[in-house]
Amino acid sequence: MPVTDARGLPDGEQIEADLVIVGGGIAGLILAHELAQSAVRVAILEGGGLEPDAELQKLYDGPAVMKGPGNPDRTINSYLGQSRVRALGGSGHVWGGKCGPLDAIDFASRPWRPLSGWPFGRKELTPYYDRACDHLKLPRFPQDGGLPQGTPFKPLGEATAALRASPRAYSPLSGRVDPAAFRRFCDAPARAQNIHIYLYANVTALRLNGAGEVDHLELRCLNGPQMTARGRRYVLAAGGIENARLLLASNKERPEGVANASDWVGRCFQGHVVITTGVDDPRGDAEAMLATSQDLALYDNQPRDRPHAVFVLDPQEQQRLGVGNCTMTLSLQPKPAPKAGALGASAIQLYGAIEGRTAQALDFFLMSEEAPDRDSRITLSAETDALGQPRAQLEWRYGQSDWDSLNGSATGFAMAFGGQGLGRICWPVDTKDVLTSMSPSRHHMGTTRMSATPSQGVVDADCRAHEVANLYVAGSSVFPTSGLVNPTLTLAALAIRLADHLKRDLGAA
Amino acid sequence: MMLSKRSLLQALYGLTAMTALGRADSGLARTPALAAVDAEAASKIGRAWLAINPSDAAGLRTAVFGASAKAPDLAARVRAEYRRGAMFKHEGWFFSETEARLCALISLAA
Ligand SMILES: Cc1cc2nc3c(=O)[nH]c(=O)nc-3n(C[C@H](O)[C@H](O)[C@H](O)COP(=O)(O)OP(=O)(O)OC[C@H]3O[C@@H](n4cnc5c(N)ncnc54)[C@H](O)[C@@H]3O)c2cc1C
Repeated sequence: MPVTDARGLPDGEQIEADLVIVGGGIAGLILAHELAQSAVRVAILEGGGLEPDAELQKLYDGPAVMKGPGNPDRTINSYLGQSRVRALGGSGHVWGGKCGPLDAIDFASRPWRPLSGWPFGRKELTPYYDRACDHLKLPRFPQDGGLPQGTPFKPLGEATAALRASPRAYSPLSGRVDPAAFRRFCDAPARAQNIHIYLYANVTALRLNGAGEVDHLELRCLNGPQMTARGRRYVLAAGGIENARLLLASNKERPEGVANASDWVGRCFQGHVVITTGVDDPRGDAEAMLATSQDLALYDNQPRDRPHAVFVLDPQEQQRLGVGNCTMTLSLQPKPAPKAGALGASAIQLYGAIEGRTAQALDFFLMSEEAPDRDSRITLSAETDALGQPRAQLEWRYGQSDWDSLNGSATGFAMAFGGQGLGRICWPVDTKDVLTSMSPSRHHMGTTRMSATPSQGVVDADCRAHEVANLYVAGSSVFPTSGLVNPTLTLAALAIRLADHLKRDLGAA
Repeated sequence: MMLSKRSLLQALYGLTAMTALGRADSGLARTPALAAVDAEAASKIGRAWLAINPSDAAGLRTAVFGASAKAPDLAARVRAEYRRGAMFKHEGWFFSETEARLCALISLAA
């Protein structure tokens, strides 16, 4: 079926399909890849064109602020417009491609982490992770958390009981890395007979019928026609912020918006706490640094063509320290030895004296899980965009537990490295400086959280809205907790799982 | 407590010989690895430790090297301290308490 520029369609056009997917980013496209050549007629309504466009991108703008205890508020008004892409392929145009599966502990209900726990465990996702790896051209990750086959290096010695090597690999399917391959990935679904992609087709509202199900969608092209779309089932795959914005803005039948009776839509926004301190740090010696004598080739984050690993603390250690999941990612780029007289130099000398080995200094960054917080949220701004839609606004809140968890994890890494004689850690970030030291992550999670019961979230374990029987959500907005890996492999696995469910649901399995 | 720099370094050379791969290696003992510990920078750590643990000063040498003539296994002790979180954080760096005391000894000798 074709790719249609919706701007050329007549005003009042009615699009019909069995399944209507809102958004052609990685989530929507993987869903379509999976449904290609099936008996399900699919319409993808994509708000953007084939390439990013400045006017359309402005639809994403909105005010945003980060807040955290003991830190001055940090206004990040460019964040909503710059941390995602409104075009077919979505943020896949710019993403880094870094992927890994969530750890088993990320799915667990942990008494020391409020609102933690997914409705299913890591094992449930294993076959879908495998298929997602195939789509994203990644090696498959073993279920036990080990390294993919063919990883050329071994993890640090067996003695490192408190540390684990958590695997990562880079997908080449990114507009930034291999634009031609990424274009093929975006275009391929439309080559199937049953899939129709509409470009410039911005969904502005979900309209409900008397039974509380989605009746139809309203669509608008920028300066162009208005249309409707009808299906038997609908999937929102508009990204971690826009999924919530659309549900909230669809408030004609229900003032609280769609699927929001229990007031979770937009709440629990989570990114990851990503902190690195660099050589440009005005505090001079204040760099996150590992001084070690180990061969760390496996942990080198740079080469894109082979799997590597990041450090995580063993789950038992996380529980003992009462922290969330946290990764330590190394850069093996040669780093000048600390200046004579600097504390780093002393740390290396002392390490050498105690352990009898020569250490080198390496940079690292920590990425830590953010605890779900109902007050960290997407709401609707009073300002509207060029389509007349209320803009999204973000109040991104961290709690004391996030700071404690970050510092506790840094301490845990220092204990683990020192305890095995592997090295010494410098983590110079003062709690009062966390917000300013942070790179706001482009991982948008939690705003339509998955839960076993309607009172605790927006969608069920099948990603179906608890309240709206014919509505599903795809993307990282369904993650109840952020876990501790870049989200795209998991959202792709969930999209594949959803595709299987929809095929059964629509009698096309 | 004052230690001469010479006696401190002797103690530290002994420490190297003892800890380096567990060998009482006179060759290593003569290697100036420990002499390379920058006394000025280490003193900063040591002074910071003493500022919050002033009563430690009196028994520092015994705390680090023990009372007996037998050389202590400092690497094992330091590792054990890290494992149980007996650490001192100074300007971002995590040191074990014994490392901090070593630095305190250096600061007193300087
Ligand atoms: C610079 C950068 C680097 C990143 N690096 C990584 C990384 O290394 N690893 C990783 O896992 N993740 C990374 N991410 C995040 C990753 O890109 C996202 O997780 C992923 O692309 C999300 O896919 P999605 O399909 O759910 O959402 P999106 O990519 O946001 O796609 C949503 C789609 O819906 C369309 N749309 C939105 N609103 C409407 C509407 N109202 N009507 C119709 N269509 C609409 C959009 O145009 C878009 O095509 C990065 C992100 C950025 C910005």
